[in-house]
Amino acid sequence: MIATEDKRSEYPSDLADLRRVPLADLPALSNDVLDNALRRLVPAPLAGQVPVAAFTSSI
Amino acid sequence: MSRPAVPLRQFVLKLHSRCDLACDHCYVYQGADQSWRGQPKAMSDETIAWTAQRIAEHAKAHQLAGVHVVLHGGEPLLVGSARLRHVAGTLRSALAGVCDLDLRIHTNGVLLDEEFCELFTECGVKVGISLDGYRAANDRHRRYADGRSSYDQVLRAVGLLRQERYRDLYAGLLCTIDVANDPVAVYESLLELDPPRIDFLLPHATWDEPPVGRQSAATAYADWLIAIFDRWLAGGRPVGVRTFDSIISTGGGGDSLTEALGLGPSDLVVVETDGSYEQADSLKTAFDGAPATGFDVFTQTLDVVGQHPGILARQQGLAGLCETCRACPVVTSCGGGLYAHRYRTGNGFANPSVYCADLLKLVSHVRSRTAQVPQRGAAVSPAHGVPAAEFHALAAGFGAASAIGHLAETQRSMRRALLGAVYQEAAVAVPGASAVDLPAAWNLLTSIDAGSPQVLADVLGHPYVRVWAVACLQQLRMPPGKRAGAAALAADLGHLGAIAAAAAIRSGTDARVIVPVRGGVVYLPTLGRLVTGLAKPPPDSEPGRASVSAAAPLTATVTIDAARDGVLVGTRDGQWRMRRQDLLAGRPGSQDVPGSQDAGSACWQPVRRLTAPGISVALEDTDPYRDCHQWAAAPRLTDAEFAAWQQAFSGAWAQIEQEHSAYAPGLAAGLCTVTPLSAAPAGRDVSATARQAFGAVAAALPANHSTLALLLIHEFQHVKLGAVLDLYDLYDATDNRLYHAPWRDDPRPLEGLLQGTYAHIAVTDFWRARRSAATGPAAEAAGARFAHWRAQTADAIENLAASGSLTPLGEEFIDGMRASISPMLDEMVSAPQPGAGG
Repeated sequence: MIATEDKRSEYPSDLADLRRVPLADLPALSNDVLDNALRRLVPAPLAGQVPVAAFTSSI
Repeated sequence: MSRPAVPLRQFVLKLHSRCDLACDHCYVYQGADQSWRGQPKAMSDETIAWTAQRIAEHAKAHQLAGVHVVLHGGEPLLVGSARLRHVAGTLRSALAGVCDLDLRIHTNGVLLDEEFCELFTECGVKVGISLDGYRAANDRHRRYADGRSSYDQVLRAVGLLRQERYRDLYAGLLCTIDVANDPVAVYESLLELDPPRIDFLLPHATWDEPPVGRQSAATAYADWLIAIFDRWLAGGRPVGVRTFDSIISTGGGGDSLTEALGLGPSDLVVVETDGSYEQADSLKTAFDGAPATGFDVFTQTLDVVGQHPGILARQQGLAGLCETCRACPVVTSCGGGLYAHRYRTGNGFANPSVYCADLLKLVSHVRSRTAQVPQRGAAVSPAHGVPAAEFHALAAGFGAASAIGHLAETQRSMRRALLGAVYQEAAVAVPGASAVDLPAAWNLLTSIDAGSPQVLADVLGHPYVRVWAVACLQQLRMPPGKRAGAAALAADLGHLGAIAAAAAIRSGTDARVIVPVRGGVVYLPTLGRLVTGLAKPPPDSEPGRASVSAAAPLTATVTIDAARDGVLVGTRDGQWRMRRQDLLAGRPGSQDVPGSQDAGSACWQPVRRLTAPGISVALEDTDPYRDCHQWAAAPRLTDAEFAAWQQAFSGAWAQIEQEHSAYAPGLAAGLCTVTPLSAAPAGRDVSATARQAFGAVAAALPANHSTLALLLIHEFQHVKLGAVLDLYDLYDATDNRLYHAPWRDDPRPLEGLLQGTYAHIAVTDFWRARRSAATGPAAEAAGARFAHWRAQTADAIENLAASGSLTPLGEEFIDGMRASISPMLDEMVSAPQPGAGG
């Protein structure tokens, strides 16, 4: 039997590469980019919003 | 192993079991469950009282900060204003002093009038209204029994909520999707009504009763929602859309805002009109009796209901999903979809959603469009990644210089994002941030970034800069009433000035910057600290935990004038001059400026370095944010204590290079800081890492260099894995179970078990090498420890694998860990001895 070769050359992350984004531009980045970069480090602002019931059903 | 029950926080009260409309898509009356027929028309006062009492006792028992109650039906307005006033009053009375109450009503709107609005204003009830879009779209289903349209009545109700006096009541619009309607026209018609939020709801369906409209396309519902999403995104997201916001949030690791998406546990229970508890009423679409629990408010507490298998089943996160879902790349956003939509006769809910293809397409589309959306033309490069060979090496517990270098580069992006977020959020949350001039510090940092980017990267690369930034963001993201005091927050934010000052000094930039003084000390990260003597110094010199002063409030500021040749630190009371070369070389000392008042007692304490051939690390005993480890940071070391550390480090590094050479390149590339800890009272060896402090290992000086070698190798495993976890989701973060770790008495969360297991691969490998290098009794002892740790680590790996909470990438990572340990299990050793120490 021939084993299936894993041809993946890289394991991509969802972390945007911000190394060459000028520091001055960082606060102007969309919240998505910053939140995504920080999501595993600190709670996203969305999570800090006033909580609302997740229940959704129309009647 | 099931997860423990989650406290219930959402309660849907079916105040009235009948409706004044006869919508042909209503799951309550048209679904498989017909239990409404046996319900009383309206909830009785007794049932209301019992319900309020049950919620209050549950909230009190679980110390809940708040609960959500949704008044529902049928049509809840049919109970009339007097009964609604009684319901709201009973709930608020029962929960007064217990927890916050978020009280809402979902209505079809046709009866909503000024009297109801006045009542809801008085009782604090927010109103959500069902509306399926423009007139023809709404009239497709939402009609009276005689066929009349409900559209005009609903629009009149929405018009009331849009009035200034009732605007606060307006919670949003709920639209059930019909793919026969024009999606963009539906969206635009709802947007015209200026709702604070729109919910687009997939019509309830199961594999037994597939959704209508599939004839047109296999992903008709995804296509319909994507058309709206694209318009919504292009329009700048003018309104909250719960489905889209949830996909974006969960894609970023946040919570879902709807039970229909995400891996978060369901914490919802329904109280039927007769007082019986039911599970999510969307289950009515599955089969007759599906939502029933057999419990009621008169007899059972909510803790009993929370143990119902049907409710527990929706709290299992990734482990509760079928194999297909577990292997899906969008599972963290989709979460298997709404539980009811997974049902199929024969195997129940162990299926993907009947909307699986739609959800996959929709989530993928939303992620692809929002993963990197720069504003104002800022260019964002593609995402980071780790080459496969290096990922596999890390999974195996190793990782050479290039692998660690990749991790370190990803940390650069994170630190820059953190810095930008701190500055952005501080400007919003703390306007004019106190005595520290944040804009000036920020401008200096951006200037250094443009002119000397590597210098800034080096300063931001200090492990405790990230610790500081995360601490700031955690404070800034708290409600203002729950933050630390204003002075402490100002001092924390003012540390931005200290970072800027350190970068200016390192880069030789001429600059003036304001820096906080805490307890008489000025901190310059990566360089050291100036103990000014102008106020009581930090309790550094005292034994015990309170060794550093990150929590100390702002007591004063100094102005730092940095120039190429020297640095002048000035206050109203004194000035000190330091030569830049001395600061960069880590030499102690400072010079009073003649004529300044009250100077003379300042002392510059530089960060010293531990060196050995091929490696140089900072011995960090000055930074105010270093006390973030499990054990207390040690006070500033004396020269003699530093010399002892240097001697131990030299010996440890020599041993690492000789006996554990596979770890040396990674350590040399990634270990930048060693932080001394206070010795544990019992004299045991203590060491630690902090997730936010990439590159730092903390330890109390052990008795010999060999132990230090072990501690460095062990702790650096945590550093590596922490950086991997910064990049990838290896497990279901909603898994709140505790797991047995063979080396600990207390059960550990999944990440703790993963971290411990990963570290013990290296511990096992350490004793394996020691066994060969040592002779006599030392070799026997090493052999025993090798046997002990390989068995425990192998057990722990299987515990992880059996958790059911590993993502596909996590399973691959665990496979790599297993591949390292498995061959060691076959090695011959003398009889193992229990209780072998680290």
